[in-house]
Amino acid sequence: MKDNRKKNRQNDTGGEVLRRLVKAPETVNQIYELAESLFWREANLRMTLADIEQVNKYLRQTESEVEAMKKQLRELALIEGSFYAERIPTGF
Amino acid sequence: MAFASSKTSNAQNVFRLPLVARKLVEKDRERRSKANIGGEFRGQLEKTLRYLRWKSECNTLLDAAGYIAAELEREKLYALYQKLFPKEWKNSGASFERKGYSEYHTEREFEFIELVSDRYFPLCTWLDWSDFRFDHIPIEPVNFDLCCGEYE
Repeated sequence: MKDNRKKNRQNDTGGEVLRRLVKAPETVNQIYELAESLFWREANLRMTLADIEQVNKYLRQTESEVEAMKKQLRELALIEGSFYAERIPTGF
Repeated sequence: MAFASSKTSNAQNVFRLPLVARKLVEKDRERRSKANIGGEFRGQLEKTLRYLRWKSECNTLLDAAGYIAAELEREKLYALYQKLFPKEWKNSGASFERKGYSEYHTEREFEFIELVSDRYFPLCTWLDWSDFRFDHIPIEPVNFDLCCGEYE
């Protein structure tokens, strides 16, 4: 009985972590897309200091989200026994 | 339906970005949709190789964030160049690409560094700028070297 409850709780936590991870790609996609757009930007396209500050601000905001994602992945690795944290293909 | 929802999600993603970043992303999407497969083979091959090299260096989220930060630093130098030396910027023919002996700075960045060193304050000459990208401005002491000199 006790074991069952423990198992259910573990499943709930795992589900919650997974649900939150599903939302994570938003930030990931944005960062990748922005990096790629910067790589392909035209040679004569320049940014002003105000633009640079805005994008820097965005990067700083996403830093906390990236930290949250790392934490979630670590939690997931703990919940799922057979999960190899070092093989998580998100590149943290 | 799934396509529609992913399209909405992409639109939301872009909406969160700052305006200039949104414009960059839009331009890149436009470029991809109009991608020209033809053209000069060697040029296309070089572009592809450059992209693949970049992609292999930038295959994790942290690498991508680091790349954006580094490019913003570069843009900051260009913006300062334009602001501090508008005439020189206008007349300059220096390239925006990294080529030759330096993998960290473009020709245009070197030009700006030299101008700052000549007209504002002397930058460290003994540091090899082609080997590093500094996260600070390395200024050399002109008179007393309080860092490395031996004083009683």
